[in-house]
Parts: sequence; structure tokens; C-alpha cells
Amino acid sequence: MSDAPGFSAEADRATVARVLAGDREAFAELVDRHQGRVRAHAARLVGASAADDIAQDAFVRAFTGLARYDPAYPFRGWLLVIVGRLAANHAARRRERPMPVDADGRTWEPAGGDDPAQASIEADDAAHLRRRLDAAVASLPGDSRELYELRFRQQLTVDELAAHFAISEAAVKVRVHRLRATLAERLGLKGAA
Amino acid sequence: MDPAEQARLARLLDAPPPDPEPPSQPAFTAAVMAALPERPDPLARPASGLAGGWWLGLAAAAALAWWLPGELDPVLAVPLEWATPLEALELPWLELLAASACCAALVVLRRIYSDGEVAV
Repeated sequence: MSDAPGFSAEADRATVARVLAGDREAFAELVDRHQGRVRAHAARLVGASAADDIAQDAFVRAFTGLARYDPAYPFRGWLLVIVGRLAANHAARRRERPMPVDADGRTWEPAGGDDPAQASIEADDAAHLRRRLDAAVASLPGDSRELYELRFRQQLTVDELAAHFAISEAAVKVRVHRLRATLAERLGLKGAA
Repeated sequence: MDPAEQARLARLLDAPPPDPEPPSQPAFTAAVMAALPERPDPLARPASGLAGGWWLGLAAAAALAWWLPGELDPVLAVPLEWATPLEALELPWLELLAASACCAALVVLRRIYSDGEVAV
């Protein structure tokens, strides 16, 4: 996973060490560094209206369980996984699937995800392709959608995902492969699965 | 869908553009800091092989309690000074042992699953 400009995973580890050593206020640096990505990820998983609550809860949970953080992996990935679990809990409480949102934070319904008649893309502009992809991703079950977002959009590595989900790297690869094949099929991609 | 469009969509599938990040908001940071406890949970520890050991120990205790036949000799099972009053109560030792193991397992499960939610 690439780091945003201006800071690095190493800086995060140093800040985490300071917090664990008793410097509570240092945690604000981590919040400042990562709130953008965390809030955007939460918005994609639960919708814009609940995103900030989920993001705030994720930071609080991360602080509380900071001793569980494994510094062998980037802090940001651990945070995003926490967001995913909170989003799953949020969806379970609401007993409905999280409403995906587009890049502008607007909620939207998946458009014709399983309808073969709509599987053909009508225009070739990038925005339309992104909408097609987003609709296909939104048609996935919650855990698959979270895995797609973390692996492909947030660029978490296979070993990172394996560590955070406590499963083997082989299991992560199998799930990612199946997930990609499912998406390719729903998008009508021939030979790309 | 023509081949060129398929290729673009396949590339997009493997590398979707990141969502635009909202700018850092001092108010959000302040809200998070206000919600933090005084310090991180001192009991939070990285998962280790020890956790597996606890599970194994609990399973072994439950299996032992299930398998052991008959009554335990109260003199061997409990300290001598406890034996008489506890024996007078006619406590079912095996059931107590099994119940203790189950309670310990429930505590662990409660720690993992909080109110039916995924632990975070």
C-alpha cells in the first residue's frame, strides 16, 4: 500500500510507539494523517450519512486496542480493516445491506447488476465505466465488497489482508481470485475472469 | 461490448481509482480526541499462540469433566480442610468443573463477539 505524500508507515509506527508510551495527544497526528482515507472508505461502505460516525468510532477503537496493532504492517491498513468491521456491524444493526456511495459521497442504488440486457456498456467514457464497476461491486455480498475495496481500491497487500483477517495468504488469494472472476462475469468481460 | 471497451473495464476492475479524500478537518480530529479514553486498553495484547493454548486447555478440561467416571475422591479433589463442608453440601464436582469450563469459554467468546457483533 502506498503512503500518502508527506508521511510514511515508519512515521506511523513511531507515533504509535509514542501513544503506547503514554503520549495520548500524539494520536491526533494519526487522526490528521488518515482521516481522509478512513472517512472516504467508510462513506463507500455505509453511505455518506453514517460515514463520519463510523470513522470516528474506528479511531476510538484503534486507540483502545492499539496494543493489538502489529507494526509489521501499515497502520492505515489496520484502520481500514476496523472500518470494514464496524461497517459490517452497522449493516447488521440496520438489517440491511450498506448503501454504497459514489465518489462524490452520494448514495445510489446498484443499476441493473444482474441483468444481462444491461451488461453491455452503452458509452465508452471513463465515468460510465466506473459506474458499471461500482454497480457490479455493490451487487456483491458485504464481505466480498469489503475485500474488493481493501484489495483493489485501497491496495492492501495479500500478506496484510491475511494478517488482519487471520487467514492464510493462500486463502486470501483464492477469495480474491473468485471475487474478481465473479465481478468479471457480472461485467460481461469475456476471457478476463 | 467491443474488445477495447472490455480491456478498459478489465483494467478498471484491477485498479479502480481511489475515492477522493475529504480534506482533514480539525473539528473531526477534536471530536475523536474528545471521545478517546484516557489510555489504550492495557489488556489488549497482540494475538499469540497463547490464545490457542487457552482454547486447548478449556477443551481438555471440558473433555476430562465429561469423560471422568463416577465421583472424585473429595480428599484428592479438593484441599482437606475444604473436603468436609463441601462434601456435606454434596456438590456434583464433575458438573461444577464442566460448568466452570463452560463459563470460562463464554467469557472468552464474549470477549470475541460483543453483542453479536464482530469484534473490532
